[in-house]
This record gives sequence, structure tokens and C-alpha cells, in this order.
Amino acid sequence: MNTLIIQNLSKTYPNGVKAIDKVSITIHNGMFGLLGANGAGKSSLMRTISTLQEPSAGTITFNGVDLVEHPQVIRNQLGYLPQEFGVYPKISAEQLLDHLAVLKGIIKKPERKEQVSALLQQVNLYQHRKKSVYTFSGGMRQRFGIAQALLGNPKLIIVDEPTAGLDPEERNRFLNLLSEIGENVIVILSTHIVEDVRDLCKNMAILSSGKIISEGNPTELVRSLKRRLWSKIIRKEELSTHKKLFKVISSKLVSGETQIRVLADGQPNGFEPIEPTLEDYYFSTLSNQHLKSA
Amino acid sequence: MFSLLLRFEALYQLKQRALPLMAGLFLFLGFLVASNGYAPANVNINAAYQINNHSGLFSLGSVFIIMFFAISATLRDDRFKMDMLVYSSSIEKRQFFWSRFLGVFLFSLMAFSPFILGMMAGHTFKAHDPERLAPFSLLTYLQPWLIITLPNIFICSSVLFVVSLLSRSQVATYVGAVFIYMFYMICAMFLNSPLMAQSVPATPEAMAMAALADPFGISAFFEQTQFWTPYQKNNQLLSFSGYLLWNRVIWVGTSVLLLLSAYQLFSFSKQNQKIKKAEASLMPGVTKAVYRLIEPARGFLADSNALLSVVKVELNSVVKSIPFVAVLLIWMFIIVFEIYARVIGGGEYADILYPLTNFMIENMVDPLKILSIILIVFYSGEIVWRERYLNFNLIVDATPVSNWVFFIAKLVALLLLPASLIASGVIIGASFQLFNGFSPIELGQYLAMFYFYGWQLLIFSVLGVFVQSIVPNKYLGMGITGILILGSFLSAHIGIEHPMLRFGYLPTIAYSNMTGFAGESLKFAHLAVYWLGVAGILTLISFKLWQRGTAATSILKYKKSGFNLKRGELAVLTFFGALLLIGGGTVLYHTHVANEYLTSSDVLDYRENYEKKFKQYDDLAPLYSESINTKVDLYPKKNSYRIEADNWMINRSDTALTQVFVTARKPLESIQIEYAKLILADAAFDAYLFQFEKPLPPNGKVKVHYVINYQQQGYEVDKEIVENGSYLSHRTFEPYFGYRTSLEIKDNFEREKRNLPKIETEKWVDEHIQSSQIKFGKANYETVVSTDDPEIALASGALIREWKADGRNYYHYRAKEKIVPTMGYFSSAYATKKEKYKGISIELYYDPNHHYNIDSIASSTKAALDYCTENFGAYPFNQVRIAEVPSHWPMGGFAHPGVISMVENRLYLTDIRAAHQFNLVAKRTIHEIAHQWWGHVITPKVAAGGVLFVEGFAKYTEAVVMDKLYGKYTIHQLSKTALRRYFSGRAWGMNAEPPLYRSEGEGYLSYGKSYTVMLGLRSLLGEEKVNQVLKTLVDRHKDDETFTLNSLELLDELYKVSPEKHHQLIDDWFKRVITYDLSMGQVSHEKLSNGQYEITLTVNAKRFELQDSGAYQTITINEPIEIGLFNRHPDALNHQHQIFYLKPHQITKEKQMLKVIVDELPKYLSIDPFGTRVDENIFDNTVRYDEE
Repeated sequence: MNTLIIQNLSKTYPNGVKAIDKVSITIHNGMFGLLGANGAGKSSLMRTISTLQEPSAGTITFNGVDLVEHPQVIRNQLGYLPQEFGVYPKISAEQLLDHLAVLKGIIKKPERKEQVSALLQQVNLYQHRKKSVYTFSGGMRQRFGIAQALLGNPKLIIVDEPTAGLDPEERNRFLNLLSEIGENVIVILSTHIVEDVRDLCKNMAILSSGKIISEGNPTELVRSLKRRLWSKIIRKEELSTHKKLFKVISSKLVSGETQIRVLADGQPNGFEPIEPTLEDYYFSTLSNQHLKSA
Repeated sequence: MFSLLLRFEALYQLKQRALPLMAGLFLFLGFLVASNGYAPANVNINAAYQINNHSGLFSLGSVFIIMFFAISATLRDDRFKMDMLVYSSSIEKRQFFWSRFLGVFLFSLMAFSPFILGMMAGHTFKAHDPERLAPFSLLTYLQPWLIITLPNIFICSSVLFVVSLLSRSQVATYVGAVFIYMFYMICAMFLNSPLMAQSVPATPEAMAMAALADPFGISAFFEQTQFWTPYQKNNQLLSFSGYLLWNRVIWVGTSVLLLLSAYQLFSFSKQNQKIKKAEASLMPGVTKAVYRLIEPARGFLADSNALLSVVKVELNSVVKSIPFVAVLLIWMFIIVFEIYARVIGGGEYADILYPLTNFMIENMVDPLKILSIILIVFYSGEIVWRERYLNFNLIVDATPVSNWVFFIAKLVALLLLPASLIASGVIIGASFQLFNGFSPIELGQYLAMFYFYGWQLLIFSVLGVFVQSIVPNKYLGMGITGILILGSFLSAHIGIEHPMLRFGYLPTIAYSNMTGFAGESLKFAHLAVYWLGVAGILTLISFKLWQRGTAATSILKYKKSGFNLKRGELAVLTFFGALLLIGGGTVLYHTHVANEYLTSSDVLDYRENYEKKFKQYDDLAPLYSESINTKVDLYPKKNSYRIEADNWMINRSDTALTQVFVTARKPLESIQIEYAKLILADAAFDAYLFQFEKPLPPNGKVKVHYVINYQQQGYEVDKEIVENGSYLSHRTFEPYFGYRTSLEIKDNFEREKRNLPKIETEKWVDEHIQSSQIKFGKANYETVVSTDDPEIALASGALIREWKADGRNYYHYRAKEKIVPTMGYFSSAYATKKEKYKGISIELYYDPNHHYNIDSIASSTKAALDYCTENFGAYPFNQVRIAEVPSHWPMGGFAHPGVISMVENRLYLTDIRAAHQFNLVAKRTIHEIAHQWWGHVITPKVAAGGVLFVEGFAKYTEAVVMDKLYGKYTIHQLSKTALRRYFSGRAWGMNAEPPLYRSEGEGYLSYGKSYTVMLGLRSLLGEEKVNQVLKTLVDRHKDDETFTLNSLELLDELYKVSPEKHHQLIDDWFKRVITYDLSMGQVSHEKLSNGQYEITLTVNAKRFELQDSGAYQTITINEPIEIGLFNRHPDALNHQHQIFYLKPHQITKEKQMLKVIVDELPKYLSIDPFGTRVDENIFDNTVRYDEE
């Protein structure tokens, strides 16, 4: 069992932005979802765990090894897919993956060859292996990214916004692959797409303004909203009045009409009960946070 | 809208900080250049010429800025992913295109123009010699800005903007920049540009091409001003006409066209997105591999594997990148061209060299340095920042590879770039030698290039990586690296002279086939160790600052890394620190302890103090040698010698001497003068004062004994005493028995600073020639010279005896009669060839490997001896010895009494096998043999004009003998070279040009004008009469013991043999400074009834006289000038029957029509075909005439 323990982690950039604010989490094997809006500090946290930047305060230990003190130890067991990445032009996918395999320390050529071609097949890029990654479409490039993250024997896999820009089929294939791997290692999946977390993760945390505002098992978290969530179809101009009267956590267009969802302990007049989803939980947490900070 | 866009551009660029930074930098550079105050002799520091020159050269640096602005203007939308927004907005193409272009152009202009302001400030606020500073004139700054700066920035902006906009690629923009440089470099090779060593004198066509093709107009500037006298440089603005005008018109026009067509081509929607065809083929039955986890290896093995892989990836990226390929192609083009031009196409006399390895290498050195530095500057940025610019850094940084792997891999990749230039150069050089069927490919010499030239590039590469690791932006890094490297080359100009302070400074090591790597190779080795230490420490710092992951800024990195070193790093630091200390210490010891370290100001101090202390003895008449008896022991292997001299010295003054003052040239171990007491010895100046017991009367003689014990020490380089190539001359070691005026500081500005009285130039009167007090004369001579076995030692005089003792070879020489005491001693392991010719023993001494031209040397010697004996009287010695000396001697040869030194690469390695090759071997041999008469049989008084008898007569003899042996084309070649020598020498003259009869030894008069005037005399009076004058002088002066022959006497003799009507012309040539402009104009012909042809030709002839002010004034012409009609160009005439007509015509007008009747229709018509007048352009004297 692998364990990643983050304690009181903070990161302040030289320009004064506080990207991570006293975050403490403990993560075990399995997929861990890190949900947050853009700019919430997800990438900062991921980069810090990936030893690409040093924290301003706090500690991270992986299986008891301090990550700041011994970055090489962690890098040896790390698979990292950054949110965005470019590649060298004029190098084929296979050559580039082979190069990265060497960098990861797979120095026996037959082993390396086998793993590289297995990974290329796994991410369905085998027929494109002779092409330069530089010319790949967004989805193909993303799949290449996950292939490189799986090189070697990673025990901690960090994927930052991996599904952005993937079409539904690609996304499915990608997430299946992740969950397969995620049984015996830690996979941290950062995303702002709630479905990714709902479908895959045993545990999750919600990050907002650099702070963890909620943490737990998605199903259990959703259960906390049971019988407290109500919906109503209103006219668009009524939205602001409703917002004053109720705790509106989301409003969206359903078949051209505005549907609002509110949080309340009893059923308000004109509202219907609905079954809560993870998305509802996410929005309610965020709106709580906003109320607090306001 | 347009102005808004432009304003936004301005705002954006100002935010980038690049503009003020660059502007500040160029302001500073301009100030530095101007306050440094360098200008050629007699040219004002702030002359328009200088300002043009600097503006032009430094505008090369503007390409950097422009590249930066162009990339920023056109590619920032892409880079910051703003493209779709910008392109889909309401901006019109017109507004977008022109606002962005104007942005690039104006900001580049604003960044560079402060250079001119800086120069203005440097001239105004820095204390300069007031005599060399013209009154401030705005126009001298405005003109370069308008003609050079403004167009250059416009041209480069247009090209780079268009390339950048259309290609949407940084790489392509770099390539654009490199190609602009390439154009310049190729043009510069044709012209004497200061950034390029020029070896081949250009034909006017080549020069015109270069002047037009150079995008910076620098070549056009040099073309226009190549022969400008200092007066013109000071007083003339550039003339915006001729090639310069056309250059500007062509390039600005091309740029405008380029912009307009780019405007047509450019479109927002049409991005060069290549649409990929969907690949249909799925896996055709590939065995399914199963993903298994593999435990990664760690430690050194993993790291070294990673190192190889990263180097491979880096090289893959570089080698496939266009700038590298472009530079490689340019490199190959240039060296093939340079080697071809020098080794095949010819040097000063269109001569060819045997393609020896060291010649191949010599021709690569300059382009290697320049191109490697371009590669290092560009690619240090590219390689260090590659992952960050590609946004791939997060992936590789998260891999478990140690920092040193990335760092070393990148450094290695960078180092391989200059290495690949050297390697490809070696291949090209070797193939060249193979194709020439001449195979001594000396691999060792080729490999030594990595050391002698590669080492410095290694140091610069490390500097590049270091700079890139501390700056926040790669372009800034490239700029700083470029400036630091340039600065290290120029630092001597700003007063940083010490070799350890000039970053990466390593001396240039020459190679001679006789003596091998000579000179400062020891200093090189020590400095190499020192710089390696410095580089190692820089490497460690860069490594500690190596950025992994997302960055904090560099200063934070610095603070954080705090230099808490790990054990391995400590070892590295200790190692390189030790190298630095050992290398540096050794350098310091050798420079300051083993030798005296003298800066240029120390040298001036020395000269000042010598004058202040000893000027009082200037009145003491010097003693002259009357009889010289030396014992010379040469130890070439140990770089040492011992000389013991017993001389009789004579008082040639009119008064009795009570004291004698001695200034040694080499430190003396001891000196005694008979009947004289040493009363003062100054060790610092090696100066001595003796008091005679009783005064030495006029013509009284006294015995002198001195000993010199010389051992080369420290970094001192004495090229006189080297293994297999020693050549030691009396004038370098013999003490002077008087005060040496030549040690005084000549520059009056410097004298004023040091409170020395101003040197006044006296008004010239002809009596000066006769009244000169230097009473140098002939002396008896005898020597015993010994050297290491197996070397042979030579000296002047007949060989009396030779023997061996203690493993050394001894030779006893004695001159049968008195000789001019300019003896030399030679020692090398010579091969010899001796033969007796008409009672004279011709003895050739040469390196055994340099046997190619020995027969030609022998036959030319005989031809010269025959001609001179027949026309000027008997040869004065029983033998003529010609001995080879190494190529580090800069002269063509030197004639000692009966012994001639000849330089290996200028005589022995010249390839004269080709049928119509100008025989340079013959030319040089004849010249030095002629000196046995001109300089030894008769020697002029040491006074103004004396050099005429030495060089003028020798050049004349050389020309007539060459004419007899090989035909007229040789005269054409000799004249071309002499005229070039005159006009370019005059352009850089140290003093105002004197008339020929009182020349002070200016090379351009000795080897240039005196030759032309002698040929003019031959054409005017005929060879017979000229020779008669020379013979008269020989007969009258050959027995002189003290020399009295002077130029007034020559003029008298010339008057005697010439009709009265020519006296004025002779005076014009000798006593005035007059130049000509002759050219052939319109030609037509008519067939006469008798079958002959009447040719009508118009000739143009102008004369100009130098005024006291330095200006030239047109004067009238009335003199006979040869008109020639040929069926071959004069530069190819080798037979009498090719000459249809060759007679002088009296030319009296600027434009004159002449009629000539000939039997055959000529192909070429010429006025003054063989260069008997000083005419800047001899090429337009001849025109080709085709029948139609």
C-alpha cells in the first residue's frame, strides 16, 4: 500500500500569489480526484507533488520519504502528465517514448522496446508511432502523455486535466486505462470536470482558492445532500429574486427553460425534490465557500 | 485605428524592456568606441570617415535587435495563443501589416540610433588629442545615420519581418539573419574589411559586385574610400554616388518590393496549418504486447544511458535545424572559396602555394572563429532553453535523471557544433590536398586545430551556457553572450591588456613548416589551463543554477541554491579551482617574474625616461664599426646564443671625443672600450657612458669588446633563435654607440602629457640630404660561428675552414674586402646545392622538404647575375648564398653581403609549375640578387631619398630582368601590384606624402612609386640610358668607405643623359607629388586602300598635384605616354609578335584624339599599358576592341 501524506502545504509565488494554502491530505492506493475550478491551485499542487517546484511551507512524504529532501527518490516512482505540454519537433512518437524510457531508467533495450510498444498499443497510437508527436492532434498528444506517464514502474501517477480536449470515446478509453492501473498505485487526477471524478474516484477533494474545502468518498459526500435539494423551473427574470430568497447553488437551461436548484432543509413552495448528484455537491460546496468568504 | 495599433505596439515593446535595454547598450557602445579614440594615422578621431566606418560595422549588430523585434511582432500572437483572437478581430490586414512592420522598424531604429549619439558624446566629453579632433559638425554624424544606419535598419527590418511573418517560425527568422550576415561576409572577403583577413587583391569587377551585394553597404563604403588619403578622410563626406548610391537604391528597393509582395501574400486566414491526411491503415497484424511494469534502474549506469540519449536528442534537434545547416553550408562555401582563392587563385602577385596542411588551416581560421561564435551565441540559447520554449520541460524534469545529466548533455551538444565545423574543415582541406595530387596530409596538424582553435571555442561555449543560466530570457542571453565575446576581442582597445583579464584570450600560434609550432605555444598552454579552470567554475555555477521544474526567477534560484555544495561538487570546484590557480599562477609567474610585464603605457614610460635621462648625450658623436670580429655560438635547441665581439670603432666626426654613450639592444654581459673608463652604467636601460683617458681624435680608432649571453625566458618569443630556423641579424643585437633618437616618443599629444618638448618638423631644404650626420660605412668582417649538430651555420664572407668539436659544427668566415656591416647568422639543418657559375659559387641552402623551386632559384640567380654584371659592373663577392628562413619572418627576403635570406612560404613553397604562372620565385630571387649591387656595391647616405637607390633600383632591375625572361605580362603584373601598394599605402600613411627624392622609407614609395617612376624613366629615356646612369653611380661610389651617394646626385645624372625638354617631367616625378588618371576612350577604325587600318582613339589623361593642405589640384599635362595596340591583353602578353604598335605619343590635353596606322586590326588598345604612371585605376587604361 502506497501512502502520500501532505501536511500544511503552502506555496506562495514571488509575485505574492498564494496558490496553495495550508493543504493537508492523506492519499492511499486508488484513484484520487482533485476537483476545482480553473485557477483554484490544482496545477500548483500537482507540480509541487511532482517535485517540479518546492513548497513555501509544509511537508509531503511518500511512503515515508520526504519529497522535498529526496526528489530523485520520488521521481523514480513518479508518472506525471502535465496539463499542457509540447514536444520536440522532428522526433517520432516511438523515438520520443524510447528516449523518455531511458530517462526513467529503463536501460535494458529489449525491456524498453517491449514496454514502449505495449504502451503505444495500450493508448492506441501504435499505428502512428513513426509520426512526430509534434503533428498529433490534441487527443493523440494527450494519449501520448499518459503513455509516457506509465513508463517504468510508477507508484504515484499524477495527471493534470487529462481529459480536456478529448472526444467522448477517447475520454472513455483514457479513463478505463487509468482505473485499471489505479488499483495498485496512487493516481491523482486533477480536473474541473465532475463526471471524471464521479465515474472513477474512490476519494476526492475539492480545492478552491488554494484550500481544501471538502474531502471524502464521492458517494458519501453526495449522500449528505439527500432530501435537501429542490428544483424549480422559473422565468429568466425571476432569477435574481430567487437568489435573494433561496440558497441557489446552480441554475441551468433545460430545454430552453431556466431550472434552478436550491438547498433547503424543508421543501420550499413550488419546488420539487430531486436526487442529488456529485455536481450538485460540488456547486453547493463552492457556494458555501463563497458565502463564507463574502 | 492605425495610430492606436501603433501606440499599442509601442506600449507592448516598452513593457518588454528590450527597447530601453538595447538602446542603452548601443549608446554605451557608441560612447566606448568614440572615447577609445582610435583612428588611423593622421585621421581625425571624429572624421566623417571614422563615423561612417563605425556606424557601418556596428550596424551588423543591429540584426540581433531586429530579429528580436521581428519575432516579437509577428510571432507573439502564435506564441501566446492570441492568434485566433487577433486574426478574427476587426483589424484590417492593411492596418495589421503596416503597424507591425513600422513597429519593428521604428523600435529597431530607436534601439540602434543611440549608438551615434554615444559616439557624439564620446568625442565631445572625453579628453582627446586636440590636434586630432576636428570642430564638431552635426553633418558628420547625420550623414552616416542617413546613408548607413537608416537604410540598414530598414533593409534588415523588412527582410526579417517578412521572413518571420510568412514563415511563422523563429528558426526561419534566424536563418534569415544568418543569410544577411553571409551576404556581408562574402562581400567583405573581396574587400579589405577589418572583420576579415583579406588575402586576395580584388579585381575591379569583383569589387563592384561586392560593393553592390553587401546589404549593409559597408563594402560599398570601403570600395569608395579604399584609396582615400588622410586628408580626404578628414575633409570629405561620403559621396552619395557610384556603387554606394546603387547599393542603397538596390537594397532599399528590394526591401520595399519584398514588403509589398509579402503584403499580397499575407492573409489572416491562410495559416500554414498543414492538413493531415487521416491515416487509414490500422495495425496490420502486430503481435499484441502486454504492458508490464519494469523496475527502473538507478545510479550511474542509468545516468550515463540518459546522458547519451539526451545528447542524441539535442543533436537531432540541432542538426536538423535550418540555422545550423545554413551555417555549415556557409562555412564550407567560405573555406572552399578562401582556400581556392589563396592557394589556387593567388596572392599579391597572383601566385599559387603548394597546398600544405598549414596553408589549408590558415585559410580556415578566421571564418572558423566567426561562424563558431555565431553558432555558440545562437545555440547556447536554443539548447539551454529548448524544453522550456517547447513546454516539454515539465515532463523531462519529472524524470529521475540527475541534473548533471541534462547539463552536461547540453554542454556537450553545444561543444559539438564548433567541433563539427573543425571536423568538416579538416575533411575539406584534406580532400583539397588529395585532389591536387599533393598528398602530405599532416593529420597531426589538423587535429591540433581542436586544441589551438577549439579550446577558445570551448571556453566561449561554457560562457554561453553560463550566461543563459542566469538570464530570464534567451534573446537577452544571446545578446549578452555576443557582447561579452566581442568585448574580449576588443578589450585591448579599451585598455584591458593583461591576458588573464581578457576572457578566453589565447594567443594565435603560427605554424612554420621549418620550425613547427612556434612562438607563444607555452603561453597558450598555460592560459589554456587557466581558462579551463575558469570555465570549470563557471560550469559549476551554471550547474548550480540549472533550472529544474517551473522556475522561480534566477536571483531567487541563486539565493536558494546558496552554494551549499555536495561532496562531488566540492571535488569539481577544487579540481577546477586548482587548475585556475596553477594555470593562472604559472601565467603570472612567466609574465611578471620571468619576464618584465610591460603594458603599452609602461613602454611609453620607458621611452620617456630614456629620453629624459640620456638626451643630454645626444650631442656625443656616435662611434662606427670599422672592423668587426665576432665569435657566435648558437644554441637553437635551447633558444640561446652567446656572442663575443672584438671591433675596431672609428670616430667619423670632426671633433675629438671625450666620452662615448652606448645603448644596448640586447642586454650586455660585459663591455669594454680600450683606453676608456666606464663612468655610468644604467641596468634598467642597458645604457653605458665611457670616459676616454685622452680624447679620441677625428678618424681615431679604438678597440671595443662586448659579450652578449642571451637565453630566451618566460613568454619571451625570440624568433631569431629557434630550432631549425635560426636567423640572427646584427641590427637586432649590436649595441649602438650613441643616443638612440628612435626610442623617443614621436606622438606630440603623448609628449605634451608627459611634459616632453614638442617635436617640431623642420622646414625642408635640400641641404638636409647632404648635411645628414649619420656616417655609417663599410667594415672588415670576420667570424667564427658554431651551432648544434646537425645544423649548418652561415654568415657573410668566404668560408675559411669548418670543423666539428664537442658535437657542434664550427665555421670560420672572412670577408675579403670591407662590406656593409649588415651581417646575419643562419642556422638550420639545411640541404645544400652548390655550383660554380662564371667564377661565382652559387650556394643554395634550403629545408630538405622544400626542394620544389631550387632549379628556378638557381637559373634566376644566374640571369640576374648576368644582367647586373653586364650593365652595372662586377659582382663584389666570390659566392652568393641563398638560405631559407621560417615563415614567421614578414619580409619577402633580405640581402646581407653575399648572403640572402628567403622566406619559406614566399619562395620555397610557391607553386610555379603552371605554364603561364607569374614566376614569383624568379621575381624575388632577381630582386635580392640585385640588392647585392643596390645596397652593397653602392650604398646611399643614410638620409631622405636614400631608399631610392636600394629599393627603387632593385625593383627596376627585377622588372627589366623579368621582362627579358618572361615577357611583358610580367611587367603588367608587377605594375599592378606596385600601384596598389602605392595607393593603399598612401591612404594609411603616417605622415604627409613626401616627394620621391626625399622619401623617408615609406613602403608605398620604396616598393610602389619608385618602381613606377623608374619604369617611367625607362619609357622616357630608354633602358640603355637609365642603365648608363646607374653604372655611372656604381663606378663613382663602389669604393666609398663612408656613404655619400644621395638622390640629388641621381637627379643630376638623369638631367645629364636626358634632353632639356624632359627635365621638367623628371622633376614632376621626383620632386613633386603628382598622380595621374589615364584611360582609353572611344575607338574606331577604317580600312585603308592599301589594306592597312587606321585606328582612331580618344584618350583621357589628367594629372593632379598634392597641395600643402593635403588636397589634390588638377594640373596640366604635356608629356609622352605610350600607346599600345595588341592582339592580347597586356596582362597576357608574352611574345613580341602580339604587339602591333607600342610608341609614346605626346599627350597635351585631358581628352585627345590620336590616329595610328597598323597592318592588323588589334584586339586591345591601351594608354600606358604597363603602368609607368601613378594611376589609381590601371584597369581602364586598356579596352577590348571587337571588329563590329
